[in-house]
Amino acid sequence: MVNNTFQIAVKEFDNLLSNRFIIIIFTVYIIIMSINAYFDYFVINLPDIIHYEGAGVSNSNFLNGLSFILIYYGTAIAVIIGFCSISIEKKSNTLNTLITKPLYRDTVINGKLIGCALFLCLVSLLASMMYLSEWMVLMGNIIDLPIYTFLFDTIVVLLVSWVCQLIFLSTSMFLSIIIKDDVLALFAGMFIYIFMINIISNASFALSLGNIFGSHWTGFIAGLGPDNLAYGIIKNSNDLIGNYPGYISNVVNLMAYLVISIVLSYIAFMRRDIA
Amino acid sequence: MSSAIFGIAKNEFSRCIGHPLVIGLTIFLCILALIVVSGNYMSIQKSQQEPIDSNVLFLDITSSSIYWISSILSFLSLSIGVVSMAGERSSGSIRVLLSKPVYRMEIIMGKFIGINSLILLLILFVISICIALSLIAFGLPSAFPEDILRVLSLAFLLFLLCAIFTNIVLLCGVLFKDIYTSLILSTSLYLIWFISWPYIWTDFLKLINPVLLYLILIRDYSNTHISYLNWVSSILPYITYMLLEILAIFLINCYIFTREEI
Repeated sequence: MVNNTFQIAVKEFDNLLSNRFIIIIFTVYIIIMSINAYFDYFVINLPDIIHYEGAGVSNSNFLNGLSFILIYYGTAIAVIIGFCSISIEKKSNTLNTLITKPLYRDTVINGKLIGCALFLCLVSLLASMMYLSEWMVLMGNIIDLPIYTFLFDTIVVLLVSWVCQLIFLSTSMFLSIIIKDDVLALFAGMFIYIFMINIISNASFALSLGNIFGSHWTGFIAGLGPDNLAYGIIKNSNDLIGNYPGYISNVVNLMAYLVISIVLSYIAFMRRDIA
Repeated sequence: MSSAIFGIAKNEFSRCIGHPLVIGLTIFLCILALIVVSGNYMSIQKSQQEPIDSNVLFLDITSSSIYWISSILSFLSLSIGVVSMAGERSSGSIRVLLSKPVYRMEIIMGKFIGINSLILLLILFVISICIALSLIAFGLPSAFPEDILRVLSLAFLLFLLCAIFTNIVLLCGVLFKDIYTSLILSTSLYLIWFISWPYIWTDFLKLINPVLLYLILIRDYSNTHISYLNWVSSILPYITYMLLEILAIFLINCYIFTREEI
């Protein structure tokens, strides 16, 4: 069973690598990343700007930019990868062929999830390296910490953003399984992305709801956004053990999102008539 | 307008208005408007500060919800555009239309008019809900006629933005027979235009990115220190630019569609 899961994961990874839609999306990701790197360069070099982290470019500027890229845009990419993984295979009947094989359905969904998760990991790694090189080209050496500290901070950013991406990946897979109309499935996934990342996390939305239901709701509602939860963890990366009580609730909430979305896609894949 | 164009437009309108995305997103926007207006109302009730000018309040409420309304409605225009052209081409139902005695240009024009009249109706509906809720909560503003003119201009600008989106998605549908290519390209375009560029406010980029141009044009919408006429005269050249952009993409659509083998 483990071997089958592994084979499906490898096949999924390979399919995603050679998928032309994924190539389009990766190109879009690079364009967005370059625009953002240029924008960061533009803002950091504004004459009147006050740097709250001290004058000049620092690695914390870079890590903030990187976490924004990986969480804000990487989650959108994850939605599209989730859609490609289920809907396009459904259309081309490869998914149908796969579920007629003597395999448990959970082996198929496990393989798919692992393949997509590894692919997202690769995309994030490539994106981080490209983003770092863009920053270095535009702003020179930005690393003002010992290299192992910098690497540790980067790994924390990568890991937390990967969890965020997995939430949207499995949500998108779930929607692609339960919605037969492909256009509706992708746009429903994109709407969930806009709602969770653009609306729930927005301060004025949370403030409006806080004004209606009581001010203690403001923080709670803003904290429901996966991106806000992730930023709450990342900002403690300088002392993860010492600041543990400050961000543990964020870790629990983020993991709850992940578990719910994965369980939903599991249930849908097991019980739904895929064809 | 010929009866063929009118017929296609009517068919497109009635087909899209019942789409689950249109219904769902319209309900969502109404709820969002209710949250924004109620939130503002409760905040003013609780605050101990001097009363705010009703005119400023009215414009602030519409402008505070306009970014969400714009992002959701342009997203909606994108999805309707995909369903309309790429969806029909992919399912082959456009062949039925092509076998009828209509010019291809009439098909494109009919689809364009049908989708955009639906978008216009949705914009007016959502903005009317915003205005109605605001009037119920805060009463009539001091300069209501001018405020209504401002809101209508805002609705027109939003309509132009959505028309650019639908036109580009129609172009994707005309260029690519495969629905997935159109879908992925349209979504990518939305990500690049709506999600990434609004943070970069430079003069050159606003000519390439309609979302950026739109956000710059509505910047002074709620600024009561600038009179309505001054605001409109400052944005008029850009409105002409947006109209020309729509016309240019429409002509490209017609040119490609009339020459292509379906």
